[in-house]
Amino acid sequence: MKSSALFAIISSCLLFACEIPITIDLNSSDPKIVIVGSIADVSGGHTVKITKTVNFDEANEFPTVSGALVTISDDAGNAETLTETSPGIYSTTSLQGVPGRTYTLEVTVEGRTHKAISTMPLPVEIDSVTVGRGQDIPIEASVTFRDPAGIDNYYRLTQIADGNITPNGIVDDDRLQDGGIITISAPVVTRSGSIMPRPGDQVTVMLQSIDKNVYEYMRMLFELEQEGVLGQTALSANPTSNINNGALGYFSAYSRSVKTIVVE
Amino acid sequence: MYIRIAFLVLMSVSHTLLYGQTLLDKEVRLDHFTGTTGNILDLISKQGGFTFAHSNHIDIGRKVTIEAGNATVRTWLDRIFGAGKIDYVVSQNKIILRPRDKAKSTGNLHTISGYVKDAKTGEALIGVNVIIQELASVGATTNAYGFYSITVAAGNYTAAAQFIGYETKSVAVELTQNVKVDFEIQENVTQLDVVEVTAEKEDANVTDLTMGVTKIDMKEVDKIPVIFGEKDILKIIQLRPGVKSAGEGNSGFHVRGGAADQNLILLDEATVYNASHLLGFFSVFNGDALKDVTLYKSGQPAEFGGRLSSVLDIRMKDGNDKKFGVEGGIDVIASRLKLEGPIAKGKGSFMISGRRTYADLFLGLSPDTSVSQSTIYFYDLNAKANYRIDDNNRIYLSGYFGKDVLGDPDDRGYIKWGNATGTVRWNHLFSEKMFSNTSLIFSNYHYDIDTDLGGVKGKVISRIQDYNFKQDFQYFPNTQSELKFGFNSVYHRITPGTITSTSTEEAKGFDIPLKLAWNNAAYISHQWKPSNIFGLEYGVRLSSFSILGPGTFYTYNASGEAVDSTSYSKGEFAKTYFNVEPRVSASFMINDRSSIKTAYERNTQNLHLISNATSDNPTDLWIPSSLNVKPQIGDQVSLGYFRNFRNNTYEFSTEVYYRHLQNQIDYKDGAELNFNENVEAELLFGEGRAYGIEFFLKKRVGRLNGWIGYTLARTEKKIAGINNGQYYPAKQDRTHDISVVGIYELSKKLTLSATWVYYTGNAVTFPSGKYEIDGRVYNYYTERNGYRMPDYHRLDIAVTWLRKKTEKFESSWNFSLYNAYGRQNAYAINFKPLDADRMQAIQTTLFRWVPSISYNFKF
Repeated sequence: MKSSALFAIISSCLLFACEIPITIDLNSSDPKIVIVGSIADVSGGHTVKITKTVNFDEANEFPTVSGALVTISDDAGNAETLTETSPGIYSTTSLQGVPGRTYTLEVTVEGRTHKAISTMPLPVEIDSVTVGRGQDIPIEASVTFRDPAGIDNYYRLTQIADGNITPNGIVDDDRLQDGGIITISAPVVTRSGSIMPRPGDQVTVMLQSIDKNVYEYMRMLFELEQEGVLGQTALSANPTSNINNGALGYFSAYSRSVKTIVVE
Repeated sequence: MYIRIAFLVLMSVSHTLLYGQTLLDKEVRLDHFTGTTGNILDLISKQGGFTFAHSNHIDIGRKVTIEAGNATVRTWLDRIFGAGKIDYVVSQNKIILRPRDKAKSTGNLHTISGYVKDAKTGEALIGVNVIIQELASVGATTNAYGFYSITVAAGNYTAAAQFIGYETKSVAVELTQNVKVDFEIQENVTQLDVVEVTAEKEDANVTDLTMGVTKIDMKEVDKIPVIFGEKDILKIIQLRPGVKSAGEGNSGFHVRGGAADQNLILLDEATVYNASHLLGFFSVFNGDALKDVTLYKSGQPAEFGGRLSSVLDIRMKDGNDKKFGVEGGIDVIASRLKLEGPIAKGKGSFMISGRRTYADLFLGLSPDTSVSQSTIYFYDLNAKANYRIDDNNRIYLSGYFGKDVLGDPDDRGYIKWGNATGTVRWNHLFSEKMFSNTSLIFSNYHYDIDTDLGGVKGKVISRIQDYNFKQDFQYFPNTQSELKFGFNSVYHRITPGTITSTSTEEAKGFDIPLKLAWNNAAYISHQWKPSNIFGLEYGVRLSSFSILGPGTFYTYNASGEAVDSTSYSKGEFAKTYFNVEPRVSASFMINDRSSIKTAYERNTQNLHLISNATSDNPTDLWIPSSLNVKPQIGDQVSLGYFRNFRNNTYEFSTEVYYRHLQNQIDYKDGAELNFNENVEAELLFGEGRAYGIEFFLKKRVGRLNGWIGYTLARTEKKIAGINNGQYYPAKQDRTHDISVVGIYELSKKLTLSATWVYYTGNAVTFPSGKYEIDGRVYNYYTERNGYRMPDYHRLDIAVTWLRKKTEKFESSWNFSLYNAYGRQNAYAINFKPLDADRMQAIQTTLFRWVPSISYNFKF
């Protein structure tokens, strides 16, 4: 809820709060498997990335996991074993996602098998995209679309920059606006990574229709990056993953709608 | 029966073993003397440094002669009255003489009853001890309306009203029929540097039946330093052992490891659901308007129920019924004004007290428009009136209205929240022995949010409304017993958070169904004090909680999926929970300076606060018990040792407790708690336990007074689905907690005060690793509440300067400095990226060196 934005005023009003870096002796943990995989309603090139956790005080270098057996299958009898195209990254070649089908990811690694199920929702088309100055400093891209009535829909807004899907921490549902016209906004990310696109720049946005479990996972994941009132932690827990057997990460079967706009 | 016999044996043993050693064995030297027995008693009392009291059946006019010599008091008494003729009973610093043959000959019992009031303001005084001086163990304590009743055999007596901080007042009573004796007692003004011996009630903490009870002295509240100079009883309570603050500058509190929602907070009997303003930095209780604040940590009387860990019973002032008065104050955050006066002299009075903050005026000075154009304020209004219709009937009206408003500069939205309570009470005396109070109470907690919900302008409304009828009786059959009984019926109407769209889009609103519940309770308790040595209070509270239709009620399985649903129409009972809550407490005097007390009680709770925030949040969600959420049950046993030193200058107590908790609630990882129709699917249930030991040493009088409190405690939960079903510390678990309070009267005009608190960190969840998702780094958590926040300590100091004090006008200044040595205490710790390659821990510190100044006046 946006009420947190209101509370932010208090933090600034009190004028007393200050932040300092401190040293905390954190426990080390056994490395755990992290699986991030997806399949969309386009052909080929869907990937599953397998890495491991590291201790908090170590550098942000996450070991990749090679030699895993990775398969994706659907409920129509199609299946493909993914090939490791670079260390820790496993790709499909032919499998094409079809909205409405349920997909199963199976990863066998280090003697354990992890399974995840995700159902690909029907795509929801973007009606229009606008780029403008947001309420806060970064430039925002706003995507407007009509939500299909009568069913629960979950959305994730991303951008495509340099051919890569760039997550921006935005998911939404239609709980408050079922069947209505929904607008979702997110800060713009461009090729250079800058958040201030100049006129003439192209901005490509992608609206993903995701299933409920993936939405819940994303919602919690993004909440980890947020801060509550006066610096309080909003959430201190691992998001509930749809992958079983103790692995972190998620597997999402999503349908997509992509639109490009030139900044005026 | 067996228990009663055992007690009697215990009492008689203690009588000879323990009391036998006291004043009676003191050696006293007397010279040769001829005079009345009364004269000799005076001599003995002068030599021995104690006093005598006697019933009027003891002949003190008889002439006797004694020879010079050394002898024990007992021997002297035997010589003048004859051995075995009369009983010598030692009571504190006093020996009471009474005829041995006290087989109450007369069947004529009569009642002395009445009210005790403050002589200056006419305020009814609560907890005043009224005793019959001739009868050692006979006395009564005024109730919440200042009423007492004592029934004794006909005779000539001296009745005295004793109250800490007041001059004792006694009245001769010729008791041949029921009499009304009203006391007006005078506040002690010259108290500080003299050690008083007059008011015997100074040893109340040892002799009272109650344990685990903390009374806040409203005069202390004025002197103890607090943040922003805004005197706050909830922050004073946090300085007592067993009570822990919810965080830096926060008025929220935890009692004996209980959660914030396990405190029953009553203002003139109305439940206050959210006791804080401005995210917990200020309490809703305006000190000017309050008369009496009592916190029960254990042995909660049976008339209270509905929360597991404590009862905070707050009573508003009635208003001065003698003259019109104005009182007020100005400080850095808020201004206060109180008006009071008689409605009809001696018949009734009113009090109205208001407070409003003006932080928004300061915001206007800020160069940052997002700050200067924000709205932020709160206000409180307390009002009360009472009228005495006749000797047996009195009516009280009281109300509280408080509101917080927080608005966004760009008019994007606001949030308003607040409490409103209203109480109508009727005191009625059925007889001298039977006091009745009937209350009609309304309470409403609400918040409204007007904001932008994902592109849609929306309005969120949430309400908790209570309609409460309460009938309490108090019956005083004889001097040893007091009976309390009554019943209570509350209708709860909970609107959990309804969202309506205010924009023209076809977006629909979101309506979480109204929740209705009906709570009934009946109770009876008997306080039995057969002697000065032993006292017992036992009782039971029977409660029922019914969830009412209309609505569809779901049952969820362990993984939070709805497995069953049933629809009920309006007025249908979906589910009723019955609970039996026994309460018992006992006190046992070891000698006249020390006692042991013990208590057991069961409490149940049917309204639950679901919150994953550390501090009070206006949008915290209250849910009633339901098909899935069972009533919380808490059983506590406690044992305490109480001792006073140096003529009651020092009081010491230590208490141990263990509480077992059933049907405790925690939420699933990442639970969506707000605006979630199926919020119950996000909850997990289990059990809990809390145990600890508390130490308290207080210097009550003298130029330097104050206290030291220490608590060693643990609070844990065990919930399937969290930390592998093992016991884990609750978030309010705090191992060590020390508070030191010192007040020093430098001169009649200047008072210095300081408080120092130290505690070890609460349980908190920190990451034990990290991982990457879609190119971003996230923290990896291994267990809930597995870490500790850093230690916290802080010193606050204050100076109170009484500038002027006359009969007509009084004014004072208060200067204080919060966190005087500027300790950077951790309010929150976050783990954020330092650069592309590393993460770091960031500590948020809120208040360092916060000075404040306030001016108070009274005329």
